[in-house]
Amino acid sequence: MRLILITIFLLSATIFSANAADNVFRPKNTSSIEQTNQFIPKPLMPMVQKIRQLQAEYLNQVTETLRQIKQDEKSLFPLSLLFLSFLYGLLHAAGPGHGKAVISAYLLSTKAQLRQGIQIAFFASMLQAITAIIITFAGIFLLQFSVRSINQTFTYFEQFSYALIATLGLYLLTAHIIKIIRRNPASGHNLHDENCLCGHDHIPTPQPNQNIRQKLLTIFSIGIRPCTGALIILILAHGLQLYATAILATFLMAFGTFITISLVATFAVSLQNISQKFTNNMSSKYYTYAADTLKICLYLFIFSFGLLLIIATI
Amino acid sequence: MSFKTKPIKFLSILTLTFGLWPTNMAIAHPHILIDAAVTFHIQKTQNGQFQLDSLHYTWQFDENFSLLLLGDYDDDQNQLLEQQELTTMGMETMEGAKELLYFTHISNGDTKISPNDAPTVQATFKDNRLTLEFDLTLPESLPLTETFKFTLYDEEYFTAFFVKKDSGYQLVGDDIESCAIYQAEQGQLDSNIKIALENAFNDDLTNQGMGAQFADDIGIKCG
Repeated sequence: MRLILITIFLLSATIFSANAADNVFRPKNTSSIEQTNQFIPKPLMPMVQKIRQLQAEYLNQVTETLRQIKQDEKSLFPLSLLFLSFLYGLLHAAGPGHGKAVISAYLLSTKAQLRQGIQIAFFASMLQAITAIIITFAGIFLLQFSVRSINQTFTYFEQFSYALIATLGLYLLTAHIIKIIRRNPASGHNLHDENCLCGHDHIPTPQPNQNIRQKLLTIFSIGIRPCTGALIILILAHGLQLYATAILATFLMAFGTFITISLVATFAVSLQNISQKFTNNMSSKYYTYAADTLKICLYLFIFSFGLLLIIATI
Repeated sequence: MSFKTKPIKFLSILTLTFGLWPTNMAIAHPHILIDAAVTFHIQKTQNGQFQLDSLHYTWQFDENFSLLLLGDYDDDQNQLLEQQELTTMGMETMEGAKELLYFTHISNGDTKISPNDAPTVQATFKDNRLTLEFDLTLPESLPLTETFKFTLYDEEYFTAFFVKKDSGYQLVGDDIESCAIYQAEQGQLDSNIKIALENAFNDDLTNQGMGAQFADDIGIKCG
């Protein structure tokens, strides 16, 4: 309920936020290429440039295909658009992004299984598509927004997503610190569970409510930020009044994203499994210290990652 | 031990590469797409030399960017642009382009030539696409030699230009039958552009050649 209220507030706030840029070719916000480039290590620049070139060519291809669909609605162009969208989801997600960072850090630091990782990837990707569709069509038809206001709304959702990432990191960090404090050896075997330092193994105690909260927070923190490519297709489709094709393309794009994020989830879970096997021979005391340190580092990473992204978009 | 650590290292690198890279750079694709057409106005001098007098541009913006501007300039919110609104939109958009020298890079040997400001612009809005047409003159007519080079690109690649290879570049003028457009190797930075970019970005080398790498270097050969 709180989430819905915040979303409505963010949408309403954009009504007052539409301002024309001073120079339309050089926006002031930090998402410009010049500012983004500051984060990119120089040796990686050729690869990033290649990605951008492919993105430009892709966008041009998509707009051209949409125009052709408009001219000849009985043609097979929708198929090529759907294929392009799927491909974009697949390839766009292969670049660095917030979803993969959060999901891999989350899976590395928890005892989540591969199935859970894939579930999170699926729901987060679909939520990205649904958010893009809601922002665009609610903005256009219900709130009568201009395209600039819709883009501005997108930025608010982006910031909200990053705030959720920071919240997720803080939540996991706090929960883990509380767990460490409760497991204080001074208290002996008062807490005799899988986290104790008693020198033998325990089956992890299931905590279903906590897991669901963590999963939902992870899904929302990734999915509430709509896919940029989907937003572009939806706005273009609005210009050409090709709504059904664009919605289908958006979901196919999300499906492509899901496949790539699932791969990342598979890597993260495999890494977690291998590290568990590797540490089997360690004494449980050192294992606990090592695991705690790793988890705290990863939770701090998620928290600071969210904060950094918020700062970068303000 | 080694058979255990190798997969860990491998998977760590993969996960870091795909997942934990702390930037969000992939979203930074070009935001404005322009279908452009360029006409070179050429004059043959009395001594038989050919020189470039001016350029005529047609820039057709994509629907996304055009609708974005429509929202900014549609003062009466009727989703249509009156002539006055259209003129204001065209002039203000061109002000932005003027600051960036209309994304036009002309060089002749070691000399870099900046075009004059466009005195007027004709703006039209059709099928949700904004089209701007305008002329650019040069400070002085430019002799067309082998070292002449023209490139249309945005250094930051925020705007991507698409010029049709077969019909996007045209030559206009009297007695210019012997003139032809040729395309230098795509993505090849000539020394002038490279020097200009190095000067512009100094120590920040990350932007160098960003737009230029994807642009066509155009030359004109006469005679």
